[in-house]
Amino acid sequence: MNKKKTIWDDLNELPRNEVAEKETWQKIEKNLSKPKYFINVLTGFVTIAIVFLIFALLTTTNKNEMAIQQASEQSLESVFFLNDSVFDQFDVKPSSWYTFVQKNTDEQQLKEFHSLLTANKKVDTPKPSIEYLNGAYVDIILKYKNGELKRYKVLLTKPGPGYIYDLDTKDWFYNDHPNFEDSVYKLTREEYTSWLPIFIIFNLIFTTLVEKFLKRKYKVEKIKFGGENTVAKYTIYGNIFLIGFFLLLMIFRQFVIHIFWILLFFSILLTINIMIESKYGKNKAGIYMLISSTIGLLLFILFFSLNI
Amino acid sequence: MDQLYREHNRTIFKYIFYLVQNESVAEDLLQDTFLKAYKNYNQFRNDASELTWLRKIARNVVYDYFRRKKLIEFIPFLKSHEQTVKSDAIEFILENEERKELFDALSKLKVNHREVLILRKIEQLSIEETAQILGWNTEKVKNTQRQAINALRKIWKGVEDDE
Repeated sequence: MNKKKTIWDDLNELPRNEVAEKETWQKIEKNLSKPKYFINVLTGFVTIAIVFLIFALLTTTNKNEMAIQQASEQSLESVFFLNDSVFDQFDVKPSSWYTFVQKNTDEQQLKEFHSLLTANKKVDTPKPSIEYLNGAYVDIILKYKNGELKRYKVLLTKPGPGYIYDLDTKDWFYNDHPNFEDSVYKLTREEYTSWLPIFIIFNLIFTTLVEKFLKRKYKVEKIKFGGENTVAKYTIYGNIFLIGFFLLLMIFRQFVIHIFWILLFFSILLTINIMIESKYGKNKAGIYMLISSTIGLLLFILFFSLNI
Repeated sequence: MDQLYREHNRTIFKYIFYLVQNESVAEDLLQDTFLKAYKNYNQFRNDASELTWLRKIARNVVYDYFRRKKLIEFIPFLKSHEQTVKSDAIEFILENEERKELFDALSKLKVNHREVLILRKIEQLSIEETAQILGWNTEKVKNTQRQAINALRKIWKGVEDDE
C-alpha cells in the first residue's frame, strides 16, 4: 500500500541549483589547493639549502681556479682521487661535495707519496697505443697546505704503475721507485664505511614503519598517489621512476656531480609531487610517504657516493 | 567533482538550508563544511557513515554561524528570504502555499526543535541516527520531537494528528 505523500516528504525534495553546486565545489577545490604550511616550511628549507650550496659552489670554484698552479716545496694537506678513470677523462674535483670523489688525509701516506714524487723522471709523450688508450687510471688532485693544487693521472695497468701524466704541465713522467706502486695503492684505496649496510637496513625498516603508521592513521589498505586523477597518478609515479633511474645511473656510471645538483633535482621532483598529491590526493598519507621515501633515497645516495 | 562532495552535497545543503533558511548563507556554510571535512578526513572513523559524519560537521558549522550572528534563538523567515535573490530553493518554497507556511513556521521554532524536525520529519532519519548526529540519547530525541511538534502545532495548523 502506498504511503500518502506528506508536506514533509515534499520539503525533502528541495531542488539544488546546479550552477551554485559547481561554483561551491570550485571554491572548495581552490581553497584546498592553497599551499599548506608545511610545504612553505619545506620550501624555506630547500631555498636556504640551495642558497648555501650555491655559495659553497662559487667559493670552491674560485679557490680552485686560483690554486691550480705549480706546487711548491711544501707539505700536502690531502689527496682527492677518483678510481676507474679512463685515458681522456679527468673528473676528480678538489672537494668532498662531489659524488664518488674520495679523500685521503692520512699524513703518513701523504708524506710518503709526496717524497716519492721527487723520483719522477720526465719522459716523452707515449705513442698512442692500446695500453694507454684502454688503460685504467686513477685521477689524483694533490692539495697543498697553502691551497695550491696539482693534478695527475696515474696509469694503473700495464705498463704502469709508474707512468704519470701531469695535467697542468701536459708532461708525462715515469717513476721507477720500488715503493711507488705500493704507495699509489695505499693512497687511493677506497674506504667503505662499515655502517653503510646498517644504514640501508635501517632506512628500509624506517620506510616500512612509516608506511605502516600512515596506513593505520589514515585507515587505508594501500597508499595510492594522485587520488582519482589518472594524469596526477602517472606524473607522480613517473617522477618516482625518474628518481630511481637517476639513482641507478649514478651508481653504475659513477657520475661525479656536485651535491647541489642532486639536491636541486630531488627538491624539484619532490615539490612537484607534493603539489600534485596535495591537490589530488585523498589524504595526507601520500604526501608524508613521498617525503619520507624521497628523503630516504636522497640519504642513500649521499651516504653511498659522498666521502663522509 | 570529488566523490564525497558529489554524493553528499545535496543532502548536506538541504540540512543547512532548512536550518539557516537562507540560500546564499547555506552555500557558504556548505563550503565551510566540506573544507573542514576534507582537511580532517583522517579523523573520520568508520563507526558512522560518511553522511552522518558530514551532518555533524555541518551542525557545528551552522552553530558557529549562529553564534557569530547572535541568531541562536530564531531567524525571522520573511526578513531573511526577502534579502535573498530569488533562487531555486527559495522559489521551490514560495511556489506552494503549504510549503511556505511550514517553512515560515519552522523559522519561528527554537533551533533544537527545528533541527530535530528537519532530521526526523524532512530527512526521515531514524531516532538512533538523529541521536548520533545531535549527540543526544534516543529519549531526548523522542521528547524534543514531541515538544517540537506541539510548538509547531501552536503556530501552524497544518500539522496532522498522527504527528
